[in-house]
Amino acid sequence: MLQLGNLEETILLLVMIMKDQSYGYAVSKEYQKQNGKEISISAVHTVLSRLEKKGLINSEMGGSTEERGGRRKRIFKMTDYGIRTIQELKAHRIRLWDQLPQLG
Amino acid sequence: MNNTPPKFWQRLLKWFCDVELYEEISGDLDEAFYDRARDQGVRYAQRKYKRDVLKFFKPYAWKKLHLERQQSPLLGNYFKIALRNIVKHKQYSVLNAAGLILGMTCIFLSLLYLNHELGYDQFHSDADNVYRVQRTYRSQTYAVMPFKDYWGTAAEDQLGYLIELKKNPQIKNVTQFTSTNSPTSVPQHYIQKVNGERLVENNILWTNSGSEFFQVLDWTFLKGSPKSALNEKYSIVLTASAASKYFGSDWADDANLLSRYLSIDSTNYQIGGVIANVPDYSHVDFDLIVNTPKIPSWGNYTYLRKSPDMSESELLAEVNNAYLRFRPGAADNELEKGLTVERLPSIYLKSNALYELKTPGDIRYLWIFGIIGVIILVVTVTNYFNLTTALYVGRQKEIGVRKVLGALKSNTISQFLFEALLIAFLCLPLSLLLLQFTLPFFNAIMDINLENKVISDPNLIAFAVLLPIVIGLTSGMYPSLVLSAKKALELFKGKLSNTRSGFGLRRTLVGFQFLLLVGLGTTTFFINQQLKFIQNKDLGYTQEGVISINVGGAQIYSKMKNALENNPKILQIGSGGMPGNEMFNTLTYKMLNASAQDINDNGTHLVVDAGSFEVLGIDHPTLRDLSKDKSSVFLINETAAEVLATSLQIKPEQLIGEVFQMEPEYNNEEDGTMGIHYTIDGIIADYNYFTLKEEVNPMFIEVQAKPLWTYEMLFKLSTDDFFATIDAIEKEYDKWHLEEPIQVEFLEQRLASLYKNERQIASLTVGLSTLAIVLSVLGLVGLVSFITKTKEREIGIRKVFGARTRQILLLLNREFFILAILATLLATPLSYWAISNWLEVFAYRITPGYFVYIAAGLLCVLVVGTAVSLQSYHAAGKNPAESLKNEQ
Repeated sequence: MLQLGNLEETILLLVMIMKDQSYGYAVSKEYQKQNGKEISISAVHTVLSRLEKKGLINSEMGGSTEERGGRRKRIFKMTDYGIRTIQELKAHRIRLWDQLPQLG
Repeated sequence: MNNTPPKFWQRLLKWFCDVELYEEISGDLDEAFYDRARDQGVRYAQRKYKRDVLKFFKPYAWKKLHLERQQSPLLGNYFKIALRNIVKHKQYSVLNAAGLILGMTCIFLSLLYLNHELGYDQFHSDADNVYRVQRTYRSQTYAVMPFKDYWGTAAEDQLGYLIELKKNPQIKNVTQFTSTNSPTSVPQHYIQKVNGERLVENNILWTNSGSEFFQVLDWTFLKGSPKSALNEKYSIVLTASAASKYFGSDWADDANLLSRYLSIDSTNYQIGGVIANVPDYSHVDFDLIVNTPKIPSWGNYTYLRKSPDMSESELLAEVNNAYLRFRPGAADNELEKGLTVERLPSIYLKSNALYELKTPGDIRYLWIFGIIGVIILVVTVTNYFNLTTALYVGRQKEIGVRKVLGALKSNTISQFLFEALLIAFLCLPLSLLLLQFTLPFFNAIMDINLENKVISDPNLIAFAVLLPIVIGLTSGMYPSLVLSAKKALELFKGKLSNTRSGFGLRRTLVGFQFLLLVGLGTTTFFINQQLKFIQNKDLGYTQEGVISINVGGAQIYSKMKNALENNPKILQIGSGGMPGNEMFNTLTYKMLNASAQDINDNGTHLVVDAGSFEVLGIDHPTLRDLSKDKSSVFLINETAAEVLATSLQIKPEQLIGEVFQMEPEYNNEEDGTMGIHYTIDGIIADYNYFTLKEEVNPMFIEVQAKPLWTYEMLFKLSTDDFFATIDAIEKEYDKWHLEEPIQVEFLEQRLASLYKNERQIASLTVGLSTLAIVLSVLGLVGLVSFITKTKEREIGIRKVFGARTRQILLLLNREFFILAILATLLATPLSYWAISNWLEVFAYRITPGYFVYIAAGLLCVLVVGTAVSLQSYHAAGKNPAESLKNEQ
């Protein structure tokens, strides 16, 4: 099974949650909202590009806004492989959780 | 405070960030900035922005090479466009290419020549530790060291000085030799081949230091070994060409060659080895090295190899100490001014002693070459630069379209640089080809033997590759920068030629071309003038039909004279005094009554017979006395009279009848007198016995009725049947001389050969400058016609508003006229300085006249004016509707 880092996993989930609104800055804002922790834009970019290289997400250039000085965003989407991977990951985690002796 | 992201940081990001990522990253950062500015304030947003930019500075975002995606299809496109442009502007392209090819060829030639001249004698393995010993006597430095008793030195005593030198262990090896090329030695010898055939050999090096010779100067051995080649008392080493000459071209197959003998002047010498031919860049030249117990000369050339630990000053001191041990009287002899040493590699260019083995190179000529090379390079680059900038003006639309389609500034720059480099590299092989063809002519003119090392020597190959790069970059730089800096819209709208900077620079360049034209043109003109001046100068004697031959003594001379006197084609016969010599050794002298301070040391003593003056057409009343009772007449020239009269504070005429003392230091042991005494009989007009490079020096001429000794016989021949008469003389000569063959010298030829170096350099300078001038004119004409062409619409509009053709011509010419005047003003002092420097070599020279500069300036204006006028006349003659319709 594909190994994912913690940050990679989080960001992959965020991309999935944000659907077609996930681009670098938006992801970093969402991260802060969900985790309560700040993350730099450049860190998000690096992770996104790594995920793309692994084939979990793909991207295309999307719409531009006035705020961005007319520059387009790179919108990321889950690939089928990405979705499959996240499902396997979830199943794996649940399997682990299930084996845990009853807590407290 | 403005509420936009900080400009500098934006630019920084753009600078390091990859093109592919830049859009999204900068977009994200901007969006974040405005978000934060709204929520947390501008100041915070800006701080955050800076930090974010810095955080992006990591390999992920750095610029990457996108060779496979962008550059290669573009390169193909650049190539195509470049070729199309070359074809489209055929005239200019040919002009450009011709300039580049000629320019590069000239640079290669100059480089080869410089490489040759600066590389003299470097091939000896320990060249930096090899020195020649020189002696300064009176005011002259001699390359020759005299033997103890000159010609009369016994064989074993000839080595005296070397033995003293070797007493110092720091001096590792010593050798001495003389050469047939030296004026102090016998010029030729006879070699008897195995089949009995006798040949004259005039390129022999005579040594008596055996194989040690090769420890000082080493050569490439083909047969035999440097350790033993000259061990035999009578032994010889041949060069490959001499071996072929005397033993046939298959000498290398002769297993017994080293046990064979060669007979020189009836002595047998054993062959000790064969070496490769002496390279052109050796100042010692020979075909044979002969080891013999007694060197056939009054002196020798002494070379030594010191230990690397010994400093030059230690060597100098040691050389002088050894000399004082060898010649104890030298310390008290006022004429002995001590010994000096010269490093082997610098002998050719730096030393200029008396009796050099090879006419020394002149470092000034190297400068001339280097400068001409650079000038041609500059002309080439400027021409190319001018023409391409002019052509690029017509290409603004192309660049505009490229920019609209997304070409970056760097794309435009690289496109133009690529084009310039492409053209320069296309010209390189053609230039090398041309070099191959011109090299033989160059060698013939300069009388050297350059090889085309540009294609063999790694350093020069590197240079050959570097040269087009430099040319391409310098010439492509400006147009590419100017055009790339423009915005696309400006390119469509505006005219580049109207921008101030482009025009200013071009004007400077045109002015610079003018400057070169005037400078080179005038310099070349003066060089030519000077050479003509030397050829036509009245030397004070007849040259036509005068020849000299060698003769074996006074007795044979008078016998030959008697036999030939009645030949009607022989007008006069004389002995000694053939003019046209390189300066040789001088003597000390004074009037007997003058004090010791008045001893001068620049006199030349000449012994001739009355016939010699008749041959040369020099006359003096006192010569009549010779036919009566006097056996000899003593004459001094005007220069000598001037010096001597000043020392006694009398008038020159009063010197007649006074006693003159030659070599006042010389003690005649027989009668106890000091020096040699003469009574002055008369004063004759100065004439140039030596070359025109030397001023006439004081001369003391002893004219004898009958020569007591002589080695030179002069004839004045009628020009009819000139060569038949020489044959007759040769026949007579052969009756009396069994050993030595006749050597005939023509005075006119001899005088011409004196200026061989100057003539060579001058013909080359003239040739190369003419080339540079032609290139420059071509470039100027091309440029001017192009500029004028771009002004066709202006001319049309002016005509519509009623301007006359004459006014238009005047307007367009005015600018060039001003440039020409400025350039002439600048070129004049430069050229004057250069030419005065060159003229300093000559004691007799022309004065450069300023009118020549004015004429050159006018000529420039005329040439360019014609080009401008022709082009603009054409435009002005057109119907203005035509040229206005013609949308640019």
